[in-house]
Amino acid sequence: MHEFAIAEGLVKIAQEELRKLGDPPPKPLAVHIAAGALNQIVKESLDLAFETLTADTPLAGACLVLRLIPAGGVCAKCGWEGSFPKPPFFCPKCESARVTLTSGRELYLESLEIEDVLTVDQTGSVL
Amino acid sequence: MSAHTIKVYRDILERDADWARRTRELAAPHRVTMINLIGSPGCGKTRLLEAAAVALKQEYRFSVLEGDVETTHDAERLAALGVPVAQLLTGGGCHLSAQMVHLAFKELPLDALDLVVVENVGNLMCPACFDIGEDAKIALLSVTEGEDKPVKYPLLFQQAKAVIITKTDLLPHLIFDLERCLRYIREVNADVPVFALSASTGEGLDAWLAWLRNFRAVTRPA
Repeated sequence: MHEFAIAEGLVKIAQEELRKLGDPPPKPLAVHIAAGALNQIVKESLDLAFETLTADTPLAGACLVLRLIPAGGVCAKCGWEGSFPKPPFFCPKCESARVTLTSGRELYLESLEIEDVLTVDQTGSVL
Repeated sequence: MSAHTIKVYRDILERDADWARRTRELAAPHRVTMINLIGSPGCGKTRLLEAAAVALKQEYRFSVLEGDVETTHDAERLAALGVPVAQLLTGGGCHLSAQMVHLAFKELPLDALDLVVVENVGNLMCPACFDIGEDAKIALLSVTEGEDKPVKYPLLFQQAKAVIITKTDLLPHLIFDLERCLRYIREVNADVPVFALSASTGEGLDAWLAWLRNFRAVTRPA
């Protein structure tokens, strides 16, 4: 359940970012994160942790959207560059093990989706 | 309903990274090396530390930060050998956080230490995800667990600076293909040094201790 600790970090920084946008902070429709596949995040567990931790915050009810970044690497021998759906982390082109992993460990808050607030004048026209 | 997107690009584990950085900044001037032992419950982490404590007693002044979900049993075993040990209880948490480790680490008598070993909570997945300020993660895998753990939990074995296969004295009684296990380790981390040993009989222990001495010398040159 590393998902709970990850959700704690996420909720903390997402709230900080929302506070920068206004007082009171806006309620986001969605929170987009990017996560490397090597983190082996179980989305359902992350959703549960996120839901639990965001109750009574502006994030409550926001949809958590995860963009999975596959483990990727570069082959030092033949120069191949690409991603691995799973181990082995060997070059699929020349079978060399001299592969440097270049992605798969990412874990960051990418963006917040905020509903546009419509301001209406006395006649009912949208400003 | 229209919406707009605010780009953020911010590290979710930035708070953990900050605690880890503080620990490293504290360790460096004291010339303390910190290693993070990670393996399943019952893979022999404490037993390995007991054997290392006896073997390294005259060479290194070392302390253990003992991570457990519950009980102080492991800490008591090490304290009985004269190893200064601080118990960290996560109370259900599946890994030690960088903050927990830092708060315990800064209370250690760092001027009087060479080596701090963190025995993480028994778990192959969660502790691998978090930087706790260590100089090296060491992955442990016992021969009673099955050969394919390195490819089931690639993050730990990919990040480990050394892998230790424990309880090799039990091999005659088990269906465990050591060669296949080594292959799986290579599939996720081609160059990692691997040590097969039995902390109970002492077989293979010297090679791991030699690696540890060398690692200490390289990371904290005199």
